[in-house]
Amino acid sequence: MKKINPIISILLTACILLPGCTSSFDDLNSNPDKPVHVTSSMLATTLILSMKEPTNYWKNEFLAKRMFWGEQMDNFQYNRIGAGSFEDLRLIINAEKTLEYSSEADLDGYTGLYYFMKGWCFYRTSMKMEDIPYTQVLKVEEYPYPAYDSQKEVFTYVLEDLAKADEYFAKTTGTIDGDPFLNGNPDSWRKVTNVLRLKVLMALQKRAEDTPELKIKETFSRIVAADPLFTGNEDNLQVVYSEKAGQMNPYHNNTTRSIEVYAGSTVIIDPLKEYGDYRLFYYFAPAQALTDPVYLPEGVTLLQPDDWEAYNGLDVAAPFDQEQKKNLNLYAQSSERCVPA
Amino acid sequence: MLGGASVYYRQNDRMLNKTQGGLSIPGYYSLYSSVDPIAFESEYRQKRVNSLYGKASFSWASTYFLDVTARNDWSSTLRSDERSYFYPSVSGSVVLSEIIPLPEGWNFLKVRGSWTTSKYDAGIYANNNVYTVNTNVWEGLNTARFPSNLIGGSVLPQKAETWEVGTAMNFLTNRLTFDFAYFRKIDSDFIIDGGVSEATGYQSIQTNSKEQRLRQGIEISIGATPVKLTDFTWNTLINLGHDKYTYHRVDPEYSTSKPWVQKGERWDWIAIYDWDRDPKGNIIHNGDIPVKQNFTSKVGTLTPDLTWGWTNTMKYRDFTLSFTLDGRIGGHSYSRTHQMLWNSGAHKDSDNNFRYEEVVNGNNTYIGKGVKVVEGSVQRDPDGNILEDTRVFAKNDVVVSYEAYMSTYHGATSNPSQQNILNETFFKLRTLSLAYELPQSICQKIKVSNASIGFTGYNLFLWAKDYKYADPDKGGDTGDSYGYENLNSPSQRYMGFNINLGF
Repeated sequence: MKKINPIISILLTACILLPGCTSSFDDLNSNPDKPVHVTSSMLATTLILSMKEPTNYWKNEFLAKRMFWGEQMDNFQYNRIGAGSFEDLRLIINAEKTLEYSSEADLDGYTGLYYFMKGWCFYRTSMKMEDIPYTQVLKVEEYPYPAYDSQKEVFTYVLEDLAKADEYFAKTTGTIDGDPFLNGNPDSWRKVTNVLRLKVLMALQKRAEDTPELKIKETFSRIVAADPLFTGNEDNLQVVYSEKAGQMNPYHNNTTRSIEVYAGSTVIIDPLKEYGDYRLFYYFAPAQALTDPVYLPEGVTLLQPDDWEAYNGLDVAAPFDQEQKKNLNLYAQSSERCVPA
Repeated sequence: MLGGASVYYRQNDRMLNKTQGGLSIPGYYSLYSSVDPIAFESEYRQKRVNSLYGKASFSWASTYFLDVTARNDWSSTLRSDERSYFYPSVSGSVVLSEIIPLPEGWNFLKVRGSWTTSKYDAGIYANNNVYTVNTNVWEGLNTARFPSNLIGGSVLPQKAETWEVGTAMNFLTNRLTFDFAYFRKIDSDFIIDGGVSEATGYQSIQTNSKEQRLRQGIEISIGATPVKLTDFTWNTLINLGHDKYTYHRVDPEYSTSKPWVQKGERWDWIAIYDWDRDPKGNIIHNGDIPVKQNFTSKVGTLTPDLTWGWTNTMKYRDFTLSFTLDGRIGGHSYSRTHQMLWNSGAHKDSDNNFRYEEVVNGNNTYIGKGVKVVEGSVQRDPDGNILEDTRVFAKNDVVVSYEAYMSTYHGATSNPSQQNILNETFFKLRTLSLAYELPQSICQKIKVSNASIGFTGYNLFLWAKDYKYADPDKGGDTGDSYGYENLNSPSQRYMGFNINLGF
């Protein structure tokens, strides 16, 4: 028998074997840490938690002018907000998936949540962006660039979606799994939905007279008269922060250490003082330099922490560099009640 | 003839566990000491590429040369129907001086050419359409989120096609050599996450971009021995390189939507938020500080127009002196060092009368150079083009704190200011060495066969056009920090003496 060149024989073997060796490739390239299927309750938790601002989001106070930050000029402090986006609409695709994985028994609850999230996301997005797409959204194959609907139409759809949410929550038996705030109680969710309907209608109040087709007044009075609404602090969808990782107050010292270099502003402190509002003592700590003899400037009388004059705010409307240079010890900073240590 | 096969396999397993919320008992350093449930990350990545390749080389009469290669890869990171991909190459050269008679003094002439394609597969798990899951997010509940990138369409491997032609010539009994190359590379089929309207429920779609990028350049190398005497020789070598990156084709859907992204235009652009300016280019102040535009503008390109190097070796009797000068002309980057020196008040030029007045006497005396808007407003399209402008400008006359002004004018570190986008033109004396060969008489005395002493120095001199406080040669060229000079430490100057003894 003729001897076969060893290189060629290896080549031939390889030619035969190699392409056939790719059978395990799909397994190799499947990430074991990421699932292809999930449960409805995990998606529901994502949806419901999305309604609160992330816990590390603390710049709202600058935008509302309740706090002043001297380290550098904050964009929000000076109303430089930038552009909005449609990112909230992406959440709705998660709500659709919730229905896909839902069992027959859970379907009503999750359908209610689906319509609630749909109404909430479109309401929020339209409040930020005015006219937005509605009828062509979430159909990426058909409409990669969905056409816009008028804000009026969007609000009509929002009200319809929220009405459906109420209907489905009313039909729900059992609880909605994955709800971190209301224990999945469908009755509580009905209340939340109806309160949101009222909020949307209130946003429309200036159109109550000139847009009769939206039936703003009628719907409002019907909901108030007939539908369940909040009755106490237990069911008002409040976020309760705690000491647990990821569940802390946005101003928690663990995450926002530089809170100590912020001071309260006259925008909030002056009215509280003017009306003798005791919340002042809860929101703020007294100026250290005015209440602690160690820091007391010369010629200034020592004040007690319960003295209204121990609380002064910075002027957020003054030139930045002027306020920035002031001694923070002379101004009221966030109280420990608001900034858990 | 050469043939081969290879199997490439890589695996990467990573786990990270950490305590959360602090430790339960001081001094008890263990994951079990975590106050809140421990946080963990886990990642397991693997990839395999099977390859078959062959190469054939032909040559004839030491004159004609031809190389042909072919390669087929099967990669685990691509979908089963796109998994197999083939890429060949051809290169050849002809020594013309063997065929045609050359004039007197022209010793050698060769021309060469090559054509290559290469292909790159996708990233590991890039085609996985999977949920993101987080554990213990709120009161022990786990969350899942649908991917924001639509995956599942057909994705081809990225492709690069290069051809090159060149010539080499030697003259005057090889005293003068000349080498010239021109190359042209087209990158295409980039695997991208192309942006779509978020109202579709997705942020992006994984696909191959239709964008094609062209890189073309020339490289010239000239070597010479200008002087060759019994006692003195001088060898010199000059290298010149020029690269240009342009858009060869623009994807109407997925290429960056900016006015300067056009076929034939440069793609190695740097864009930042420039200062708002009046039609004459003066910076507009609002209140007392300069304001930035809310759209980006192109402020430069990354690649230099020319890189050059010049190496010399001179030999006189027993002394050898050699040095290399090299440098770059053109190209821009953002100098974080320059911006941060100003921002933190450490810049030499910030020690001036404005600062003195403010810090010592408490007086603000600085007025920003530029204009302010007295009345009117401006309307722009998303690219920043002016649609309607009714602004009336006046010279800025608002007195401001020098510190506040400078820390805004040279803003936060990740927020490049236009004046800190610097031209990278520089040259440096990269190496210098001087050696002395000891005469044989001394060598014999100390019983060695040869001996030399010398001095060597690196980075002895740097001249830069704009970069005064950082080295434009370092950083900013590659990787994530592309276009960013990232507070780099200066290139080390190294000087040393050496003694070589041969036994």
